[in-house]
Amino acid sequence: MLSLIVFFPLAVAVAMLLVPRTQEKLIKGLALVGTLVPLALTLVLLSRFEVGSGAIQFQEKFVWIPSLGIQYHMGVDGWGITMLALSTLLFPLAVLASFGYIEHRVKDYFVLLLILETGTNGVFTALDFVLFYVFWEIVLLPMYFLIGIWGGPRREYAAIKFFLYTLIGSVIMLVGALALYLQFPAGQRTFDLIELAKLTQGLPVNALTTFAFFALLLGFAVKVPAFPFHTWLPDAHVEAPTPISMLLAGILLKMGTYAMVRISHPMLPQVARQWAWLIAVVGIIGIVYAAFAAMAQKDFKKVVAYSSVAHMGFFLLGLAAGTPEALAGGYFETIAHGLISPLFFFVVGMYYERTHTRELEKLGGMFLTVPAVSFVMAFTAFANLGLPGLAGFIAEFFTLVGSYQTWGLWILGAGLGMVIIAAFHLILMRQVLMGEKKYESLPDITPKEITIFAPLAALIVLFGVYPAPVFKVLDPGIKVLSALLLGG
Amino acid sequence: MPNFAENLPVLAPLLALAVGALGVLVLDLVLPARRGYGWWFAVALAGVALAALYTLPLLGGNRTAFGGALVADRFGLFFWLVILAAAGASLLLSLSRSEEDASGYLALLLWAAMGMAVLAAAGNLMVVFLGLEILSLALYVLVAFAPGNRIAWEAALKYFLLGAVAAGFLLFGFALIYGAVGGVGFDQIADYARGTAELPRIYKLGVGLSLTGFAFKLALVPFHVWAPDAYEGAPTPVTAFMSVGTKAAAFAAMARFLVAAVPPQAQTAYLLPLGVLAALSMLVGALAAIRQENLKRILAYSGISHAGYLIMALPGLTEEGLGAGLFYLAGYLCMNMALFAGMVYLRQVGEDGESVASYTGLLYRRPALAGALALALFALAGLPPTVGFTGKFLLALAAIRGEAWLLLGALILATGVSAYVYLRVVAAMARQPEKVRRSAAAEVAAAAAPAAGEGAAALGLPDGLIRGAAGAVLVLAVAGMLLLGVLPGRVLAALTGLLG
Repeated sequence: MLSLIVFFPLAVAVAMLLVPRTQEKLIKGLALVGTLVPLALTLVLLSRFEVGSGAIQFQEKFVWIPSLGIQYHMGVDGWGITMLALSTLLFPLAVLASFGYIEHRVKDYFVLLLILETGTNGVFTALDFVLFYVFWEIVLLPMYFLIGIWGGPRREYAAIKFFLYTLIGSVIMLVGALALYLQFPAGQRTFDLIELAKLTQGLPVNALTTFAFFALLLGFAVKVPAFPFHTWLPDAHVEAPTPISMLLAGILLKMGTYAMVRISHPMLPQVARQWAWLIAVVGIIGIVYAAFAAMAQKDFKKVVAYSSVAHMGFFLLGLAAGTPEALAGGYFETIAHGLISPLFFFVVGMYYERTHTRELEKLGGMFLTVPAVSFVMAFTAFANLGLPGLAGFIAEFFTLVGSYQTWGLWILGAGLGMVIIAAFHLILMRQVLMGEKKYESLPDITPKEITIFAPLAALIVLFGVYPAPVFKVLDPGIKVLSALLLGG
Repeated sequence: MPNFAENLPVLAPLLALAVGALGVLVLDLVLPARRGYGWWFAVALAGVALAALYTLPLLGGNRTAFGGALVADRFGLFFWLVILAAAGASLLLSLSRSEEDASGYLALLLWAAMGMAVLAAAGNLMVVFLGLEILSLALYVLVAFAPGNRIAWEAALKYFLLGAVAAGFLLFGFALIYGAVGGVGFDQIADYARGTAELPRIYKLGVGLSLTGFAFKLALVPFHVWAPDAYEGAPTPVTAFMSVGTKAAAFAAMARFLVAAVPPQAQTAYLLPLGVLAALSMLVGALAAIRQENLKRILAYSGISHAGYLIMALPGLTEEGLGAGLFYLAGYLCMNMALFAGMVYLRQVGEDGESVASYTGLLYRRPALAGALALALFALAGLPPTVGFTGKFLLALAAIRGEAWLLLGALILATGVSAYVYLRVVAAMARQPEKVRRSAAAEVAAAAAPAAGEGAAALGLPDGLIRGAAGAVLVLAVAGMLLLGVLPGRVLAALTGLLG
């Protein structure tokens, strides 16, 4: 089942290669099918998912490269299935957002998009390091082209920057993982993430484990992106077409956060404990710095991009704190952000399609011009700044409550960041929504846009009011990880 | 006296190559060029195929011939297969040649392949030198095989002069080792290196000088300066052949030499200088490629980097490590052949195919070809699901096992930089062609078309055949790249128990 969810989009992509270029309707239909089927399958899995069990579910295990102890091992637990659900949800929405927006080389675009889905779904389900790494890197290829071909004016620069940052990060991560792998005698060696973690948890804290921990963490931090490795993100977002920005913010960043709770921290909690302060500092700096940076931007999309960096700071803070509440809040942040920020990028896209500008100075008075679109914008902005009743609030609240137990009043730094986040959102709304009308008549929201807005908004409200189901799914994993990070 | 018949099975593949080369030359004498032209290629290809056929049954066991002078163990035989595959592919790519000198060209190519095979299976120092000289002399001439092309002559002369100096180093090193050991066989050297408590200085000097000679053939920094010129000047199929074949043969011989000559207790000290050269090669190769505008030169610098990556297989001198090196070379064969086949194909359809600028918009003109080339470039950068990743993965594993942190650091940096280099080409392919450029490309094509037509009228093979052969090489290379990348299990299993 998991393999089907992962490889179905790839199969559709291959089939799509055979469709003539001119059959755009068929291609678009195939793209929808290729992304909706995994979503349906994931919903089936969710219904069969045994909540409250910490075990890996829906496992699939085959021998792949026996001489090195590499397996084709798939499976999900609470960490994985939430991300898988997020990924399979966002892809059909991104496909929908591409209709009418991507006009040239439609076939190539959707082929790459489908390959991308195989990569992301694979990352969240792979339980063997090599398999994980393969999916992790496969994500790079389509993303490079999607930004580099369909992006804005500086697309090549942005695409290469994105590619190189991630690639160098991943190679370092690979070296770290190999070093851990070779710590054990030949018979025990394995790349199975679960088995390997059991072994590595017993290693002493020394130069090698510290190196391995930071090598892994660096690879993931680039993707998250954590300060100071975040500089590729604003460039990539600004140049990427809207649907790709949605996926980049919604899913690709979550690969990094997921990898931390799946690999670096469970494998080397003994090192993580020693360096938790550093991760917390990086998180808090990220929140405050990105919030200030967002405030200074003149480009709508850059504001949203920097707000992503800030929100990922909360995840890092929660991870560093290690208490169950903080971990739950931090991971919930990634889910909430995975729903809110794609919507936010979509909002930017909606304005851009109408006004052909993203410059905040040229926008204004939008409440009067396009009231429905502007309602969406206001809703999203409030969700993003953490308004109570919406998903973002729950996440940040839990993160701060949980972090206080570990870091005490130092979390005031993050609190300061929240104030700045709220401030720049309010400034943003003033600039875009209020003021004098700058455009006479623009078309208001379309049914397609409502179709994209509705499911995301519904989930944002639902999780804001009633987050319990998500927490229930995550709970067993959180307990285990928290015990590892606090114990000893 | 060794019994010739006993040694024949091991010798047969080499003989097949040599006889194939002679056959081409004889055909040239017997038949007029116009009628025999196609047959030359057929005979040359048959020679390579026959050599491969003779090699396969040998894989069952580890044999030696001529009292250990030739070692046909699995390590050497796998290298033979890599070399023969490279030779076959470059023969197929050479179909586009339309000059009357093609018979000599083909013969030299086969002899070069034979030299490489001898080198890869050498069991003593003399045979190493013999193989090296056979392959080098053939290649010096082959590099110059572009009539009227001064760049090619210059490249060949540079290659020859530097190569001669390197051969001197190698020979002097061998002489010193002989002086210390009193024999040239690798087994004698191994016994000596393990049995002597305090190795004399002339021995160490000899090993050092020999390594210098090998480093030259592998194009390790600072002995790399010949490579970019030779790669650029040589006919494309020759470049393809020497980029893989020379590297494979030299690596095999050097690995054997090191396994024998390095005393286990002093491994780190012996291998450190080589590690420094390798790290430098990775970085210099990657950095120097940034500014190159010619794809062949980019591949030359990438070859320098890859020689550096290969050295990662050596720390510890374990069997797993050597297996990783071998696996990487097989992968490197696929990646390089794909790219050179693409170049030949583009040249055949009237495009330039050498300057990076000429690749602009290729993804729009020829999506399938551009896709395959992009995949090969990503493989060179080391991305899954291609063999570039699997190979680098194994090499990194070997290097970590041997605790070669310097090499790993260089690997990380070089991967980043060289990814940028390859991405430049990919980015050019994906760039929307401007209207002006398209017309310029069309002009080039128009200018090239009559020239190609003329050639075909005089000598040469049908256009469709040439394109088909280049396409076939490309498809096979891409298939190999993906297959070795996704399902390396069987091959890796076969790589255990290499050195008999």
